[in-house]
Amino acid sequence: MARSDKTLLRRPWRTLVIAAVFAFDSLFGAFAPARAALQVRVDQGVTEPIPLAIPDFLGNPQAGRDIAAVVRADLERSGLFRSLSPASFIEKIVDINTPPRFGDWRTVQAQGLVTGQAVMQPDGRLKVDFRLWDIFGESQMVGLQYMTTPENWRRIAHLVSDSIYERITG
Amino acid sequence: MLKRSIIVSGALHVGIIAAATIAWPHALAFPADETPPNIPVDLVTIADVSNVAPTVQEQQKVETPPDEPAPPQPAAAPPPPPEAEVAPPPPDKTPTPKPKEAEQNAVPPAKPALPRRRPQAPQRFDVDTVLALLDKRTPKPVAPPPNAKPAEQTIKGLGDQSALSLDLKDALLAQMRECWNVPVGAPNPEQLIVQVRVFLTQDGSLAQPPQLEPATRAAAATNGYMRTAAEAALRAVNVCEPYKRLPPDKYDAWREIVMTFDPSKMIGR
Repeated sequence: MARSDKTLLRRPWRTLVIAAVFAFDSLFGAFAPARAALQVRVDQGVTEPIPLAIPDFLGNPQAGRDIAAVVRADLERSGLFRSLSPASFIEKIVDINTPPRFGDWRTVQAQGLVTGQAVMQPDGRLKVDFRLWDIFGESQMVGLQYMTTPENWRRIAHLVSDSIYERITG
Repeated sequence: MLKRSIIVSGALHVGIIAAATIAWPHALAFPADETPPNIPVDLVTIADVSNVAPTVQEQQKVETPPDEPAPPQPAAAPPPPPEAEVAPPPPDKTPTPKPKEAEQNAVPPAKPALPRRRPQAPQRFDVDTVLALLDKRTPKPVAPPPNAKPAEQTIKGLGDQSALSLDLKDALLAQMRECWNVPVGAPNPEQLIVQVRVFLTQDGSLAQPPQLEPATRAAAATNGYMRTAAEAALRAVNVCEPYKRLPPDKYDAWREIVMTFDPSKMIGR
């Protein structure tokens, strides 16, 4: 009886101690690398235009080409963006509702990608969708849709470039 | 025995971990303490800061020549002792009278002038050595080695690394400067300070996507300009991605980096 009592006492002790050691070890192991971080203060940089890829919008070929051209011109005129040559693009956008292959766009040095489509509606109006993708963050930054009469396509193009400008520059 | 050893090791572990956890909150405030010393590094060019060895070597070259000219000086020095020998005889001639001693004091200043003329003669004899010096082929290789070799060794010991090596932070800053597209046009840019934690692999690529520090993430969630600044910082880290300039042998030092992007100095540029 005495032995069994001792073993009963010993076991919880052992398990407690071993559990505590493992718990603290795991905690210590988790925190240790966080302290070793090198501290660097970057206070100098460049002010260069951000390279954007703006392929022609899908849908109506004429409207898609025109709207993309106006968006490129607007953004380049701001001086803060640089439109990459469509000839360098690896991926051909076929659907704006599926995420692009970000690796392909990183390869062509793009930091942002604008995909869109301009579709004539049965009621005669023009619907323009566009998405701005963060290539490094691999996420969508903006996604908007405009409906208007086809004559207003240029105005919509300006709205698209405005929203891109605002989203990236703040 | 097992029980004791387990308890002892357990207690030691608890003690170590307790010490570590006590220091932990202090580590959170660490970035703010460390950032100031980085500023002077930026103000000086890289070559001035980290290219130390060459300048030290030049100083050594200057130091070595004095050792060689030193022998001629002793040649000039020996004459004075004879002066001292010459000086004592007069006191023997005038043991008692004190006024004469004063005259003797007046005399010695004149004597040193004479000995100075005497050393000039040995210098004329040194013309032969000058001729020897003109034969640059033989004497130079012989003379410098004994003095210069030990000096070079000590210099290399004083410098941290080779002359071409960059300081770790210098290398990193030089690269980040080219990649960071500073967010311009935002009001109060001095408040748009972004901290990003970067994890690198040994070949200089990103081990995982860079992460915003908690304070930056919180500010970016509420402030549109802060979000823009944070995105610019993340973009910079990604654009710079192959961090090839970092020395592989110091990987432990740059495995994890907290980069603080401060646009306040870029105002008006």
